[in-house]
Parts: sequence; C-alpha cells; structure tokens
Amino acid sequence: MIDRARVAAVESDKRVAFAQLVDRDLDRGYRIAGVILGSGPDAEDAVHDAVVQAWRAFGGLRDTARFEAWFQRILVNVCRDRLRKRKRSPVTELTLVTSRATPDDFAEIDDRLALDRAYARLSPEQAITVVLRFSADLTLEDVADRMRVPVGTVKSRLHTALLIMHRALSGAEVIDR
Amino acid sequence: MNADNDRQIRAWLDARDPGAPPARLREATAAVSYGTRGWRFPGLDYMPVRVFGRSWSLRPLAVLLVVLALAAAIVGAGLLYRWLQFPPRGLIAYTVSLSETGSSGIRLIAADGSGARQITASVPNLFEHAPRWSPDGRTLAFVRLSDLNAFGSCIGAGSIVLYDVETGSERVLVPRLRTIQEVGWSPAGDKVAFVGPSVGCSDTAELGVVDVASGALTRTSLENALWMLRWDGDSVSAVRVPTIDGPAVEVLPTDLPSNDGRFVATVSGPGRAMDVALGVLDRAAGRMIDLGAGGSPSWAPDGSSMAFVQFTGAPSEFGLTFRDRLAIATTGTWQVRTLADVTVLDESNPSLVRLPRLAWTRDGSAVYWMDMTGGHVLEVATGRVVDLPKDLNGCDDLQWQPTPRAD
Repeated sequence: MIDRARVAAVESDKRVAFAQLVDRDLDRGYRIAGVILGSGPDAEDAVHDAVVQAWRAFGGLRDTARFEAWFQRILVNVCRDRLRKRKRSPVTELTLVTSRATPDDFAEIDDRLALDRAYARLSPEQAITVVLRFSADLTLEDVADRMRVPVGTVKSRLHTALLIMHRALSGAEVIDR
Repeated sequence: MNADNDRQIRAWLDARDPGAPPARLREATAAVSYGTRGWRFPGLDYMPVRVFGRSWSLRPLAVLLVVLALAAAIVGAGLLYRWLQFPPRGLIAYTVSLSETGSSGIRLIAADGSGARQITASVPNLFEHAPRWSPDGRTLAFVRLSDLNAFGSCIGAGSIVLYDVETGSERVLVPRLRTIQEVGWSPAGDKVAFVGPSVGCSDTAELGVVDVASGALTRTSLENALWMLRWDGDSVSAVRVPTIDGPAVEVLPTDLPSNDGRFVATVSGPGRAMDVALGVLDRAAGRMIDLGAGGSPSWAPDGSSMAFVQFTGAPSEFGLTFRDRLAIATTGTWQVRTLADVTVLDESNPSLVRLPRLAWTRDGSAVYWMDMTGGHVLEVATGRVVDLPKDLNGCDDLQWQPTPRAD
C-alpha cells in the first residue's frame, strides 16, 4: 500500500533539498558558464537548462555531498553543446570603444581581440578545459572529473589550447586543430 | 610557457566573468523543482489549472485527452468502415415473371439498384428460374424449362444452365431433364447437384450430381417427395423434408434441419394462424425449444442462429396486412432478438397466408426477404435495415451473390 502522505513528505523534502543545493552553487556555476560562453544571457540560459536537467536526474544522485561536482558536470555538457551550436552558426559580439584611446589601450584591445579570435578557434572541449583550469581554478583531476575524460586528455587539451592562445598574443599565425 | 602570456590569458578570462547571477535567474532556478516533471513539454507544466479548488498539472489531462481522441478516432473509423460495408456488395439474382411472353426470366441487380440487367432471353413458354450462385460468386446456375404442359409444371424438358456473370456467356450443363425441384453447388464449386422432378409429378425422383468441368453425371433414385440437398465436403445427400399442403399446389416443409444437422426447426402448420407453433429440436439434448407462434425458419450458414417470422398477434391492419417481426434466435441460448417489421398479407383463410421466405447472405452478416412492402435486407449485428430496389417487388427466390473474389 502506498502511503501517499509519506510520499508527499519525501517529495517535499527532495524539492527543498534540491532548491537549497542549487542556490548554494548557483553563483559559481553562473560565473563558470559566463566565462565559457562569454555572454551573461547565454550563461543564464545554460544554467537554467542545467538546473532543469539536474532536477530530472536528482533522484539518481546518491550522495548530495557531491552535488557541486555533479551539477558542474551537467553544466559543462550544456555549455559544450552551446559552443558546438555556436560554431555552426557563429555570432560576433561587437565591443564599442567609447573612451579616448591611448596607444596602450589599442595594444590591450589588440590582445583582447587576438585572444577572442584564438578562443573562438578552440574546440569546445579545449575552451572549457582552459576555463575550468584558469578561471575556475580546478585541479587537473577535478577538470578531468567535470569533463569525464582522463587527466592525460586534460593535459593534452590544455597544452594545445594554450599554445594557440600564446601564439595569438605573439602575433604568430594561429593553426586550427 | 610565457608567464606574461599566462597573466594576459587569466586577465582575459577574468574580464569575461559576468559576476553574480541576476535575481531572475535565482528565482527561475528556485522554481524548477516545483514545476518540472521531466517532460518534453515543460511549458505545460508551468500552466497549472485550478479545478475544484485544486491545482492540476495540465500534463496528465493533455495525455488523457490525446488517448481519448485516439480511441475515439479508432472506434469511429471502425464504425464508419462497418457502416460503409452495408448493404452487402454483390448482385441479387431473382426470377421475374414475364407476363408479356408468358414465361419467366432471371435478372440481376445490386442493392443500390445498379447493374440491373436480364441475363436470359424472354422466349415464350421458356421458364428460367431457381438461380443459384457458385461459391465464388462468378457463375450462376439456373433451371430452364421448356415445352411445359399447359396444365402444370410436371411435364416439360428441363436443363441446368451455367451463366458466367463476367463474360455473359452461358452453357448447358445438364440437358434433357424433367422438372427440377432444387439445384445446389458443392462447397468447392466444382459440382452441381439437383433433385427432380417437382413433388407430386412422379412416383420416383432422382438426385443428380454433375461435374462442372467434365459434365459427367451420376444419378441416384429417390422416392417422390420434397428433398433438401445437403453437402458434406465433396459429397451430397438428399434429405427428405416432411411437408404439409400449403397455398395453391405448394407443399411446405415442416422440418428444416440446420446445415450440421444438430438442430431441426419445426412448424406445426401452414400459414399464419396464431396456433402455428415454431420450435427447434435439439437432437443431441433431445429437447424441444418453443419459440412461440411463428414460421418461415431459416438457418444461418454457420448454424449459429436462425431467422424466422414471429407472429405478433396484432390484428390485421385494415383487414389487409399483418405487421409481424423478423426475429433471430441464437443457437444454444435461444435468446431471441426481434429486429425488423415483416408485412404479411392477410388471407381470409389463415392457413393460406404465404409467409416471406427469409434468406442469409453467404457470410451470415445479413438476412433478406420480400414482403408486402418490397424487398429488405437486415444487418444482423446492428439491426439496420435497408430497402431493396423496387425492381424486386413481386419477385421471389432472391439469391445474393457471394462476395466475388478479386482476380
């Protein structure tokens, strides 16, 4: 016999627990997504999608202590899908420079544009690896966990990505991989 | 790696940091666990409706509506298909009296009046009657009588003729017979059996079986009586039918066995007197089932039921006709359904009333008959009745074509 009251109570507890966990990890997740995607609105969409997916799969999470890593894995997948779609239909964001520019400003803008272009040339996996390592400051092992690949793969992707970005900064030709 | 480059990369990454999430994102994500149910149309989940003081998610309602719509569509399609299947397809063969030539002929017509044509020539003193369809519906066998003695039908030259419905060609299957009582096809359609002559015309009778392809004929002597042909696979036998004197010079069968012989319908007398009882003898059980006042029994081809005319006991309308009922009794349970009106001509002598003859289509889905209001066909499952074309009025011995096979 199903105890409907008990099921309802458990269900209610589950909702509350999930909401609390999401609220705790929302900031970090939003900022990671923002750096990966380079757009606040895109990051909002990606985080919301990830939260919806996480809720649907929440019943399968055995240890809520691992919620952060688990949620970030979902978020990474969502961001990766968005980057892939973006590669198929690229959108260029324009940055309007309104202040009076100095030669140093131009140099800074040049570097930023160079990195923008280099980042756009990275594969989604390479881009996310760079962000998780240098923006989210995750260890190589944690990056491997979020992306579900071996540590060696993380190192390889990181190496390639940084090579491309360094060469962009030095003005050298960027080779697509 | 260049440390300056690393710093620039970090600075570039930091510049992309959007900062704290906006309040709307926090609100939206907080609501997810209270609305999303893991469904492809989450939008509907966020549209709860309040009915009877409770909020209901639209999802189960939408699913229920879709299921109900599908079920209704399937049932509707089935009903429409059944509706369109009635009246049955196929041509009705019937004998028509040709007063202008003093003869009779055979005509065909569909239930909707299409395909009407006469398949025999209107030759004086040539009587073509008793059309019988082959099991595949492609060939019509009928009796042709010529040289009839003016005083009756006992003396004459008879033959059995086969008519190809598609080509319109005919051939004489058996020539030089006397008058013929009954003609019938074997279930395989490769033989035709007949019994003749007509009752009372001779001291003896014969049962003949003709191979349709070769024309080979075998004969068996019988005593002169009313005989019914019964096929058992490839072989045929003649079953004697008890009779009583009917209207004019007719004899009417009192006993009508079902095709498998398990049951025998019996009528206690001719005509339409209210004391004429209709019963069914269950041979295996050895008991008689009383179906009340009625007559004209007719067994379904598979023996699962029996149609008959149930006398209503209502007085004659204007002294002219009775409105009786066409009834169908289910074999075994003997539950009776009365399904349609049958209009019977009132005679001054009730025993002289001619009851309509009831016939079944080959597939057992319909019963058809001629009465005082014309021809009718009844769909057994639903009780739906359709009137047949007026061309059939006054005719008798209607024979519905079995569903023709596609080539």
